[in-house]
Amino acid sequence: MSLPVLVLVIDDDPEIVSFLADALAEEDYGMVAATGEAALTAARDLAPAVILLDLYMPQMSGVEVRRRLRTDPRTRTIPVVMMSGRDYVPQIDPNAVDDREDDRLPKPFTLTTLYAVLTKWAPLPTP
Amino acid sequence: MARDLTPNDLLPGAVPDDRSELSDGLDAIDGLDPSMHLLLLGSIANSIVISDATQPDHPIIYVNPAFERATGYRQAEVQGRNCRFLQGPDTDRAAVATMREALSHGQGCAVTILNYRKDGSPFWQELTLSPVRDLSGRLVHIVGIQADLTVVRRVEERERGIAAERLATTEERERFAEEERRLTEHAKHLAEESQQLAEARLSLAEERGQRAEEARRHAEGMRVEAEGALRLKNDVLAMVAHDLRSPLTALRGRLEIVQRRITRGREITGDWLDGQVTPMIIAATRMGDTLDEVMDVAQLWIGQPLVLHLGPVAMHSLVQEVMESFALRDGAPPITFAAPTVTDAVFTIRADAARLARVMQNIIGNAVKYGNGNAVAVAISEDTAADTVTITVRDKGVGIATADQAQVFTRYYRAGTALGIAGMGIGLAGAKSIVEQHGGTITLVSTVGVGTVVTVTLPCGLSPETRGAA
Repeated sequence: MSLPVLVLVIDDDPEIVSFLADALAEEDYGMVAATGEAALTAARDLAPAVILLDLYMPQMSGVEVRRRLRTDPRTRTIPVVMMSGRDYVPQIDPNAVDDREDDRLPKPFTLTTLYAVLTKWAPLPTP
Repeated sequence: MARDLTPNDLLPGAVPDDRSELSDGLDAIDGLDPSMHLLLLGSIANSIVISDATQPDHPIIYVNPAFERATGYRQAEVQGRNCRFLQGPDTDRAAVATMREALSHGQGCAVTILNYRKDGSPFWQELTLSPVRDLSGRLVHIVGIQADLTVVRRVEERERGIAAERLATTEERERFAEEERRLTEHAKHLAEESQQLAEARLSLAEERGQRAEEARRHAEGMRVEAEGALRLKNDVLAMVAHDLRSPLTALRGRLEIVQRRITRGREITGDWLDGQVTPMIIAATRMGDTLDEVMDVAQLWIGQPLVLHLGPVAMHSLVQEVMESFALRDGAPPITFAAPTVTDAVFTIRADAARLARVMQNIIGNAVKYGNGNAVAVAISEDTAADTVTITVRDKGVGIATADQAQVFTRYYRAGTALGIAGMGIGLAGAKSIVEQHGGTITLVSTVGVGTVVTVTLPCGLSPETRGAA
């Protein structure tokens, strides 16, 4: 049995983390959740297929996490999906080498949208 | 034509009752040699004129040397003429009339009259006319005795003039002095009025300035408040949206998971379903709580008191639950709890649990947010004498400057760093309103660089029996 496609969820809201865990389990995705420095370490060490990143977090904001991910060669290429509200205005650092956001998953999102985004950035191997 | 006057002519012919001075005088010289009469008349310093009353127009028959000196006319020039040639343009007509009237009745008179000398110069004379009668009582002579009054008159006039002048001067001086006093008074009055006006104007200007400044400050305060309110409104809307989005995402997502299993005909066990439904209920409850809080915030914003739902509330449990909700969050600092006893009854008060939970969420939330990651110390204590419960929340954070401390309890105040931190909150102003609605107090003591202590004291509001039963 091959290793599951790993999704890194960076969100401090246990309700969302819990829901995403159940939702990803339904489609046989592997999931790791973390915030702050632990999230950066997880991204570096576990090499997830995609990162679902929340914007509003007290210790380290989503913008900061993304910036740090982009500056590290080991995490730079991992697709980052921002989980933010519809009113979110992208805050792209113009001085950064690469501060792109790969996709958006605005809350509240549907399960179908979630799966569509995951399929786009981290397609499951065909059975 | 007047005949030469003989001494006999001068004999007194006055009637016995004639009391003229001249008659008396002539009586006194009666008995003297008649030649002595003329000598006497000639040596008299006063001018003497004797007219013949027996002839028409009473021609002068004698003038003495004093007359000649006084008038400048020689005896030869005036003899045979009536005395009126002495009169001139300024001679008082009334005085002339008086003389004429007296003589027409054969009576004497005394007038003060302005006559003219031969050279035309006027002189004042006091003229006494005395009728002289013969033994039969017939008017024969008129003797005029004239005293030159010019000098006297001049002196009198000068004195009168000087006196008048003096009087006038004095009066005028007094008038001037009075006028000056009046003017001075008026000027003083004007100066005072002007001073008062200036003062009034100054105070008016000051008042206007103060009012303008007040209005400006008021407007500025309103502008700041309005801007704060608008900013807060936007912040709160963003936070409400955020607070609703997460549970809504979870709720809808879990419903889709269940639906997906049904659609795909996958197994649905009771445990699995319970694992989906329970968080759904929690999410829905959380959304309901958020809406309640939004309504409270809206109510508190406009200064309206909340309708409290009072009931027995175990405060130490409530505080601990709020603490735990923060402790569960990622990156939360350690929160310690100190309570002398843990008996529910002791800390049970009559209160609105949901509202006090919001108060504690706000206070502990602030301590967590602004505590620099340091431990937050929460303590609960009871004052049995005052029948109150006190909760203190102490952080070791950045602290609040004294100048800003008064502001923290005002509406719309929110720290600039609040954005980006989950949770909407009622703000310290809302917390204060709720505590005060419970009859309690909330105080904040803060030192920059040391930390902040917020103390909430609430009345128990329960009788000991009720408390024991709670």
